[in-house]
Amino acid sequence: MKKTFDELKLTGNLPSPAGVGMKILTLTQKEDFSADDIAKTIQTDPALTGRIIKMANSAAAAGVKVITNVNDAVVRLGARTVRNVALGFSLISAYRQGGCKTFDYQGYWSESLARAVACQTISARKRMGAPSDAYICGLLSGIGRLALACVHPQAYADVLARTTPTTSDLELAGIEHQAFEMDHRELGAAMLRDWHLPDPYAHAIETFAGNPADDPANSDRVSSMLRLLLRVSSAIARLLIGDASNRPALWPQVEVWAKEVQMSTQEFVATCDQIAREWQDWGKTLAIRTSKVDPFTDIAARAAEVSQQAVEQVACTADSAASDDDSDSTPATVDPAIEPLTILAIDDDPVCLKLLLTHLKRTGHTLISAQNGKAGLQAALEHGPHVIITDWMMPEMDGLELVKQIRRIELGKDIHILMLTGREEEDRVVEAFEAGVDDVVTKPFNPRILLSRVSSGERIVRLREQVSTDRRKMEDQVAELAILNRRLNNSSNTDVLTQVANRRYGVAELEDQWNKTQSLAVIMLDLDHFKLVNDTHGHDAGDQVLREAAKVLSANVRKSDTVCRMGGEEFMVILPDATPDEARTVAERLRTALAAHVIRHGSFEGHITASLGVAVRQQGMEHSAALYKAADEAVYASKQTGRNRVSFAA
Amino acid sequence: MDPKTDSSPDLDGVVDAETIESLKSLCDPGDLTLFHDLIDTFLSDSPARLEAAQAAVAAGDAEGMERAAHGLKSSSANMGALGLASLCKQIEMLGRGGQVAGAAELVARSRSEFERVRAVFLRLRG
Repeated sequence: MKKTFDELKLTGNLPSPAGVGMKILTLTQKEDFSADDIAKTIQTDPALTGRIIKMANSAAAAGVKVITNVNDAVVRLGARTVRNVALGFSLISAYRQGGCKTFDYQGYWSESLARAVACQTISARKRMGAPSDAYICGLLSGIGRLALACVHPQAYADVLARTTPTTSDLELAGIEHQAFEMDHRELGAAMLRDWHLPDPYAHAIETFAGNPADDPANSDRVSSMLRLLLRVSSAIARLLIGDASNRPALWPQVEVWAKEVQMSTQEFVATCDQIAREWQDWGKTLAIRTSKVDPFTDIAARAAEVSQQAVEQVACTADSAASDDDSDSTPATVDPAIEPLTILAIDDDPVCLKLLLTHLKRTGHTLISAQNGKAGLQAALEHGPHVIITDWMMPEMDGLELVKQIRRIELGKDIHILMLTGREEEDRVVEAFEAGVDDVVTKPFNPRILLSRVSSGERIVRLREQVSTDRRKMEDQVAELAILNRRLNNSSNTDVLTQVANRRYGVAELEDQWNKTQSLAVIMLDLDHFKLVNDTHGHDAGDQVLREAAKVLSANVRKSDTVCRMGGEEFMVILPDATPDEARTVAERLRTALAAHVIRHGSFEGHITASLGVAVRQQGMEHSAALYKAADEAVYASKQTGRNRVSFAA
Repeated sequence: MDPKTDSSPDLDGVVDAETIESLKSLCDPGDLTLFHDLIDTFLSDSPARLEAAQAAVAAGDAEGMERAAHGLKSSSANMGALGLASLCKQIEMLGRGGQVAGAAELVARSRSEFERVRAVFLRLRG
């Protein structure tokens, strides 16, 4: 996965925090950063400042003094948490929209936000870890999906076309694997590690969608806790983001989690109410879409009534959601060359603003307006206009300050900005250009000159779009190449007949694990009387036996283990971080599973057994080959003592 | 004198005929809604700015005076009230120079000029 991740990173398309988020990330890569450095960096971004302060207050227990500045927020939350929160928020601002046509970016953030507040709320109520840690883990829990949409916009649209609203995370991961040789859970975890977020975060988001029965045995306490929080939260989030009419039908799937987090039904219902409120509240702060939610007592009551019709309703909602998607994607298919631009006009003088809008209306572009710099900045963040026309002298925030702020954010770098200047400001025009203005028009403006300036701006915007489309196409090709590489790589590592790892990979992996961990075990395994099957029933039957044996082995090892076919009827299982007892348990499980499995092919019908040898890394072993050899000798011992058994290396 | 002035309603020389023509030409033929809308906006918006300028003079607040005058200057220029715009510009300049005292008389003249402008616009509004 490390190699795959590096390839993707090279495409330059993986989501990465913008502006201040990136600065904070770099700043905190060093071990000796100070809380003061962080506070100073955050303060350069007013929107982020507000959000961090809100975070500090909402994560606090009731009755604690309300925080009003960044420095106090950093003290209360801790520098590392503030860094993580800043990272998450700056991702939201940078990835509100994107190139994957069927990926619902707004919906994605709405769901992530619901998970975040649910994690935070439950964590705070049940004292499960630090609430702000839980928040950020929830917010980034699906980041791999966003990443796939960014890196493979076209291919990911095809993947999404094969899903329905009821497709689970796990099923989605399966489809992703077919298309990309990896899934969003692995990718998300790799990204979190790349950003130096705590390892338990990465571990939790990689595993929470899986079946609890498959949870890795070696999870630490924090990861397990975060994983549980993510499971509860994603169930609650699915209910919140869905259609209001469908919520009662989803309630039973949510309610089952109450006992897992040790809550009475009553407490759980109250918690869900609080989560819904926090979700709407945070939605306002972060400009993320949320929806109205009825009290959960009502939802639970209706759930009891509708449980009979639940099945039908799910089917209906799925249909309507699908048709909504269709209508959403239609405008995106319009040729970008004729799509109107969005122009934001900002002037505090209503007469001037009205005139401006009247003239601009003739251009056929989409218009938005604001009456002062502050509102203008808000509107720019919300709508991401192509062109901004702004007055200079305005109350609250003047045009110059507005332009500086806009140029500081990622989204604002490509906006074409025209500034209206009075005669008295003529000698300060240089200042305006230095702040980042592209063009100036003197007031009172001549309509014809203004409009031709707008259309020259339009030409620049279109050109820039063309350049970035070309770049995106190139990046797509690089990403395609990466998929192809992974396929080739996988096939050179895969045994063609059984689809498990081949000898080449097995030997390399054993060496890798040898260098990584002291507690390493190996199981060697040889199918009994295989030659007899080949000789009596033909090679087709023999091949089928190998295929099914490989499948049985893969299904019965731990998630962290690797099964490889070493050649002929010989297999090896590598078990990282396994105690001798664990290795013995796995080996015994493999033996019984194989013996119990009935194989039918042509004239052949019967069981197949295997002789197994287990070896665990010992103090005196000098290299991985010694471990391999010890296991191999144990197989021989099993053969000698009657087959269908497990022997331990001496 | 500009020949257009003769064919226009009496503008009393306080509102520029050419500007009025260009504002009207923005409207769809036979529908002066937009033009009337602009007049209404100007007439309802300006008194507050005059008040603000007056209050700033009384308080000795040069910056407030400059800001109020700047706003009124650009909207009156847009509406063709050139005399008013020029008075406002002088106030703005005084404000920028920190000279509040000398502006009292200019503000008073702006107020009476605005009354004349208002009368003309109300007539145009019909």
